[in-house]
Amino acid sequence: MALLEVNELAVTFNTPKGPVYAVSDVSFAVDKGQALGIVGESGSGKSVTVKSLMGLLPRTAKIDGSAQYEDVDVFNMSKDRRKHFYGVDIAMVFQNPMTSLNPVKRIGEQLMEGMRFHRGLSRDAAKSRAIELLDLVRIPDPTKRLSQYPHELSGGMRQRVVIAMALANDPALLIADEPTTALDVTVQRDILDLLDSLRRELDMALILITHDLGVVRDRTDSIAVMYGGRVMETATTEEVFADTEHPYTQALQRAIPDMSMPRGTRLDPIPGSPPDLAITPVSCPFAPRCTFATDECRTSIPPLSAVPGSETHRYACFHPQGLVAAASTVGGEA
Amino acid sequence: MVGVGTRSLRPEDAEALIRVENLVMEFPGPRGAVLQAVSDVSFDVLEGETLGIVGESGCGKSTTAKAVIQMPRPTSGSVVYRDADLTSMDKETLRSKRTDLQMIFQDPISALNPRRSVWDIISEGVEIWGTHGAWTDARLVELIESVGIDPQYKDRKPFQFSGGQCQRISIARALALDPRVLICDEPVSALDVSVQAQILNLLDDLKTEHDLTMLFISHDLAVVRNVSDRVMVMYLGRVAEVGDADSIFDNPIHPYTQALLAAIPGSGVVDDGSLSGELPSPLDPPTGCRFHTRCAYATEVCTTTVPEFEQFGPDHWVACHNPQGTPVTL
Ligand SMILES: Nc1ncnc2c1ncn2[C@@H]1O[C@H](COP(=O)(O)OP(=O)(O)OP(=O)(O)O)[C@@H](O)[C@H]1O
Ligand SMILES: Nc1ncnc2c1ncn2[C@@H]1O[C@H](COP(=O)(O)OP(=O)(O)O)[C@@H](O)[C@H]1O
Ligand code: SF4
Ligand code: SF4
Ligand SMILES: [Mg+2]
Ligand SMILES: [Mg+2]
Repeated sequence: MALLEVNELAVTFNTPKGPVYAVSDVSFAVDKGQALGIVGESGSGKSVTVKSLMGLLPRTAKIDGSAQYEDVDVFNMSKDRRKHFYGVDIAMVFQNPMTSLNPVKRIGEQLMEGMRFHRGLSRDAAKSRAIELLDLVRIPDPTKRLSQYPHELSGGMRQRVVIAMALANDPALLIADEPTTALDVTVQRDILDLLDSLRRELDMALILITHDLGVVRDRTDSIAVMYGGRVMETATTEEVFADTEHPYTQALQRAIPDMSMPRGTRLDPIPGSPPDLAITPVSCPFAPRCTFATDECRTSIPPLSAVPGSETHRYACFHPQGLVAAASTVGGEA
Repeated sequence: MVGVGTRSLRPEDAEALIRVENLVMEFPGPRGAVLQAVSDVSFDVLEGETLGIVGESGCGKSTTAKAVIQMPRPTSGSVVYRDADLTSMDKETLRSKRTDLQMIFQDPISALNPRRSVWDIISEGVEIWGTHGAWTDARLVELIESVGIDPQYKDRKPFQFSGGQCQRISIARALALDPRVLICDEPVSALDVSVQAQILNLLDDLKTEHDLTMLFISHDLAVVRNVSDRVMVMYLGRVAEVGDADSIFDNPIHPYTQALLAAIPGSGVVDDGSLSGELPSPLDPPTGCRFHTRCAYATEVCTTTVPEFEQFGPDHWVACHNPQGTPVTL
């Protein structure tokens, strides 16, 4: 059974210039202990999607659809449940570790603060738990680090501290929003591998948000590719790579250099820029940048359709590439 | 001998544009401890070459790059640019050299002054550094165009641009100073993949056009492979392996490089799991080879003696007591 199930989520922001359709018709589920990757470029609605779950959207946001976490209706929780929900059932790691860390407070104090608030631990108990957590996120010399300030750590180390903070209360679901994309955060692989192994060690579910398909390839069970606030393709990770249907998923794959490419290989950027979400959507959001776009794509929104024979693989496209290729090799109609 | 040595440096007559020898950078740690961020690193970069620097978080990549431009000045060691040692240069002379060495950073938006227009940001350096003589307004417009920004937006401020566009503006600002060396510290890590490809292609074009020498830091080995002539693999403040990029990526010899490459799809290297251990602290780095606490091939000597560079190909240097390949004598 799914730990978290999101159905037909839509988020619209009311702005002075009119509505912004940030997220439309987004559905996905995460099972206990499983990892879901949400992939898409900047502005595709990834953060808004998870912020809606975390109750972090401003008042100007109008949320439609539902989100069910075990027996909790996330968008209609009681105040009491809410207090013990965030940081306890679901915790989140943000893009920029510096926004989650107080620059003028020692690492130790910051770690202990959250624990003492949520669990009422004594100072000593909180301290030993803090050391345990820093150790868990593979920070060497945890005792020494407690007395350091965030600026004394490298970017990667800071993000480890932020992850340690998120793990303080043993969440069943951790949401990591581009945990390796921000300022001075490097060595993605370290942090991502850390999240991956922590998920296994702690039997925790993970939603990993990234703009890089390569990042989720070996670390997730399923993937949702977003563009223009919508889900373009969703499937098990294996299906996404073995049988890519959506042209946007394909373009994302081609834009990244690969170790097997000889040096100096020219890359294949996706031309143009993402859609303006202030316009009422009437077409496939990817149409202006898509090589396969036809009139149909420019005048109607492709619905999420199932790949025949798969329970898990869905795509929103009028010209699914894998199916088109398969049809042409067996001599079927294009 | 305390370090991995300077054997990887090319002969004097190879005329390195940058020659760094025995670079050490230490920072004060808590309670009187010393944080050894960079310990005895030597490398050179020939004119027109791109040196990629890779390694885990905190291994000293950024510190090394910043020490090259003397920000801050290293604890010891020398950084020779052309024929002058920047480490012993007084402030004024250094200032006059610094336009030659420009750096672009990971976070393009916060690297730009939010209150100034694109035009001011790009022409500011030209005025401050007094290189304006060569830069007519028309040439600056051309420069803005050449990085892919429409000059009609030159009066806009950074927040009105996307991350990728801000990185283009940072690049234009650096190029306006007519640098010889461009140091890129994770220049595409904060950008969307679709935009990364645009910036990497742009850097490639500009490198040829402006005849640039580059230091290119990235945690993304595929990106480094795409741009680098040579690579330097760092571990905990030291160099593990350095040399020709193809030679190192196709035939990694150092156990650490092998472990780094192993997890990457398409690299063809098999993982022996040696990276699973804990990353030691630079406050108290392991004795001998600093990798010995995590290395699958470590032996007694590794715990006591710092390995020296040995040669494994025409341009392939490895500091390891138990290299996973056969040394050559050339
Ligand atoms: N100003 C400083 N004061 C104290 N320690 C510092 C300072 N700057 C860097 N360090 C330390 O020096 C070491 C090397 O840091 P550096 O930023 O060079 O790493 P990096 O390889 O660039 O890492 P990342 O990939 O995370 O950017 C780290 O242990 C870091 O905490
Ligand atoms: N508070 C807000 N008011 C208006 N629009 C917003 C707000 N927050 C986000 N948006 C818009 O919603 C869209 C999706 O944003 P986001 O979810 O942050 O994208 P990403 O996929 O990069 O995380 C973007 O067009 C963004 O500008
Ligand atoms: S629906 Fe049309 S425009 Fe959209 S991705 Fe598919 S082919 Fe391209
Ligand atoms: S074999 Fe020894 S010297 Fe070589 S990397 Fe391993 S620990 Fe270091
Ligand atoms: Mg986001
Ligand atoms: Mg760095």
